[in-house]
Amino acid sequence: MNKTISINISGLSFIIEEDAYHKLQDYLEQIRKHCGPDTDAEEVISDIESVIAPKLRLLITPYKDVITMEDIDSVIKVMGTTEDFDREVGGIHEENKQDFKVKRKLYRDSEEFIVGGVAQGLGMYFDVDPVLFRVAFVLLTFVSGFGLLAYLILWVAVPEAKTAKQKLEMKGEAPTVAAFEKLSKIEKKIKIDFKERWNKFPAMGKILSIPILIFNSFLNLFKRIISKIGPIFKFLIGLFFLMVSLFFLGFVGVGSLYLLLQTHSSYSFAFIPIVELFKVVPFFWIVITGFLSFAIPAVLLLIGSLALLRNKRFITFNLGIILLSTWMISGISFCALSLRYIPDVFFKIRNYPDIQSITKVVDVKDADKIIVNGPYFNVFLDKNKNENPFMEGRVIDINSVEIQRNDKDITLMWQDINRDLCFNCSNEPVSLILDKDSLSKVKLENGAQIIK
Amino acid sequence: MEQNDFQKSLDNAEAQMRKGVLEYAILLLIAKKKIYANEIISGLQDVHLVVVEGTIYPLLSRLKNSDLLKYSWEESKSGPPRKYYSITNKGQKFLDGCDAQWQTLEKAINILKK
Repeated sequence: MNKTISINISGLSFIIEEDAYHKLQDYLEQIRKHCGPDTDAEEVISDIESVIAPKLRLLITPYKDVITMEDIDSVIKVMGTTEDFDREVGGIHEENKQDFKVKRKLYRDSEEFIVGGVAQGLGMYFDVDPVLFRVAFVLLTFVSGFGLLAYLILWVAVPEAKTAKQKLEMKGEAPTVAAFEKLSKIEKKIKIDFKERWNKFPAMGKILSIPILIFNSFLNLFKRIISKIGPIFKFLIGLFFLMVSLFFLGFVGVGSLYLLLQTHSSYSFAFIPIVELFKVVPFFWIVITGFLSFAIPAVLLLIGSLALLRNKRFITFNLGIILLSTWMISGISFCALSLRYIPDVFFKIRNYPDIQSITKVVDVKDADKIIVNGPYFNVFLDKNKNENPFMEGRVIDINSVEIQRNDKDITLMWQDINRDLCFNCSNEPVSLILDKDSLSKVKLENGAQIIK
Repeated sequence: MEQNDFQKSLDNAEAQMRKGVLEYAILLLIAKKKIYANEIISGLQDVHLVVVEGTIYPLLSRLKNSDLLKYSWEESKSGPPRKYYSITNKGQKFLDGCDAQWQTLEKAINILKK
């Protein structure tokens, strides 16, 4: 059952099936476009219509009074397509044809899609890889939920490309007869293949093959589900690796830049400023080779994830060779440099003046009370009968201790030295060594402890 | 692939040779007598210059716009009025020019073929 409409061609009226009507309309539209500026297109169309009309009239019988697709096809075959015109006139219009741009229209693609075909349609419309839109939708969904909302709105609002004409409009292809035939051939081929095979079967075979057919249809259903889920799964894996590689690349890149741009005295790693380390090692080369050794695998992961997302080839051979050899050279250099200079760095750090152990005498003779405040104090009983009580510890820790005198009280207080951006600065406890007499005056506060 | 390229260049050569011939042929038919589109088509199909029927309509329109031919509507006994095409003075001069050119070409090719 087909919908029909009634039309008037060159003074004759016809009842015509709707899709046949569209085909005829497209055919005439092509001829109109075929006519150059020196040709009166309307006149040509009316001439052609006046020839077509009696031809169609001949195809009507008392038993068939509707013009069908086959009728239109047969008339077009006699009249010829614009491609036929070109050939017979001896014009080479093929190049012009390809320049002929059709205004794209936004549709959802029902043939290649992951969820609703929205991203595929947007990609076709803007002539870019639809993966960009997929990634954008997913990212925007994670960021604010906006992506999901936008997707759902587009899913509802954008029509699906159903007819051949819409499919061509979506791809921005000219609606030539050849393009239509290409589309319908693809669709028909699938159906005909199955029919032919089925017709070759003997009757007994048909009955026997019913269970196989049922099994086959289940298998097909399963295949279809897999083929629908497969791309989603692949897409998600690709997206995951894309995010990981981008994050890692960003981390390595920012870290390396930070290290390279360190020119002021900063305590990023220890109580020794980086500038001091610069002097010990070929710092620049270590950072560069280190960056390459970590960044190149991240780049490979990035390319891999993009290949997965876009269903394209992973990497060209030449690029692969270049990346791999750069990676090996920088990796080997990085390891060699590290092995060569790490002992120097440790030596430098160990022998840095700020962290050498020293002692400092604390005068507590007149004090009635010794208040020891802070978790970094360990108080010891002096077993060696030293003349004066003293503190023992690293320069940097001893310098953090503030001694306050208040009447007869003495307070030893821990003052944190503010070091910004230090990843690995930890204070070590200061030992306070007192004789028995003084020890009895000690009052502990905030985690200081006596060790016996 | 090579076969394909060969076919392409053959098609190309054919297209180059055909260029303008169809206009010439139409003018030749019209110059003999007043004639309508179907007669032109069957005349051309008889000598295998065209296969499909639609080709001549854009050409007729173009020739008319160049004042090489004109048409008039005339009643027919078996159907709607028909467009009868006839040649103009300008068209006749154009045709004479084409004839001269064609003779030159024909002569040249015939001599070369011997």
